[in-house]
Amino acid sequence: MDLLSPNTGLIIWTLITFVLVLLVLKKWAWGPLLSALDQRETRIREALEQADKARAEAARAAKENEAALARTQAEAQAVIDKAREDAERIARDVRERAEAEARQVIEQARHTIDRARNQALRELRQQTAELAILAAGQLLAENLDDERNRKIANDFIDRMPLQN
Amino acid sequence: MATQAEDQSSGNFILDHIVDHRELHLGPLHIPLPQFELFGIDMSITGHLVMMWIASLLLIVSLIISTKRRGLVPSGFANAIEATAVFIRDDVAVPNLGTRDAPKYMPFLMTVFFFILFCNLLGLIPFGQTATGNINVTAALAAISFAMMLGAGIKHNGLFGFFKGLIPPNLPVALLPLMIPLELLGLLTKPFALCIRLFANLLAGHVVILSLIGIIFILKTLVVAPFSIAFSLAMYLLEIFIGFLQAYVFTLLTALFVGLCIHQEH
Repeated sequence: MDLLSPNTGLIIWTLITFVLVLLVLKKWAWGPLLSALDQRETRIREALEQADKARAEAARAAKENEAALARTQAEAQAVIDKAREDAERIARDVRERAEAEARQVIEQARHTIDRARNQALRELRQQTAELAILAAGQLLAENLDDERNRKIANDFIDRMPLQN
Repeated sequence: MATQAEDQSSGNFILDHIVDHRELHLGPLHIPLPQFELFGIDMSITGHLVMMWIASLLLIVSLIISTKRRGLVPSGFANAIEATAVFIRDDVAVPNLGTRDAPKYMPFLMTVFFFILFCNLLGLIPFGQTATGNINVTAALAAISFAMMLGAGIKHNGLFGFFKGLIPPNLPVALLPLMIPLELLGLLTKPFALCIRLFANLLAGHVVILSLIGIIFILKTLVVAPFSIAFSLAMYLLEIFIGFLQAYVFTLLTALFVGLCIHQEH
């Protein structure tokens, strides 16, 4: 056979062979192969998308946590501030009330003292008068006739204050 | 006179290795093949046809085995097949056919690539012959490629639309008698170029290797043997590369031409 001699039979055989190979491979090789490729690519794409989504989610959660933390800190600070204010206010109140009470007690004590002194003075004057009357009575009983004694008694009585 | 006869025999020895035979040549062994006619056509089985069948069988068996029992993560040979599939899809089919049409033509393009590749590589194995170094085989492959071009073009643009689309739009009527035969010729040149390119590339490598070996016997000296063998070894490696390259080129051009027939506006 020559190098360039046409061979119709071989051409037909080649066509038949190629078409058969194509059909067989299409059914049993390319189908599974290409679908597996597609499947894997879909899977990888989905996995990447999921990873992206998860990352975004994590970032969002972190931001939320931070915000919550800041909010909590602010709240805690507010509570502390309020407690301190309350404490100061209460302390001030207590002190004021104590002072007021103390003042009242002092006032009362002063009143009591005044009253007691007045009473004492009154009693002293009464007793002094009684004593004077007694002494005067005795003096009168013994020296009533004596001119001079009478004069002393009168003087004494005159010198005595009328009240208090 | 004697040297001329030897030269002649050396030439015959080269030709004997690259042309088709009606027997299967396995080294010194010549196995007769069935010879018959069908409907007046000589449908005899030839050596290259047997080689093509062996290549097809190897192709089918290895591919089916590699695609069987696969997990989501491939390994070994299946991985290589898959890498090739991805390459043909992303770098050959999609750029030329578009994302929408590419999947439909993938099985065809993959088969073209692997069929030609296996035929090419079988010729490099001892006792193997290169079926793709036979112009009848490449003509048939080019005819299949041409049929795909026409079929895809007519399917996408309609019978009339396809042939109308061959002629550039807004062409003056006076130029039509010139342009119609020119465009038809352009259409036919594409498969013709595919046929000749594959045939010549696969044939040339073998001729060079056999010539380099033949020098030893023509000069009848062992001095040239190391050089001959070194050069033919280099050629052999180059032929492995060419086996892959030409399979890729044929597939790429087929995809390109089919794409041109689908998207005629470009």
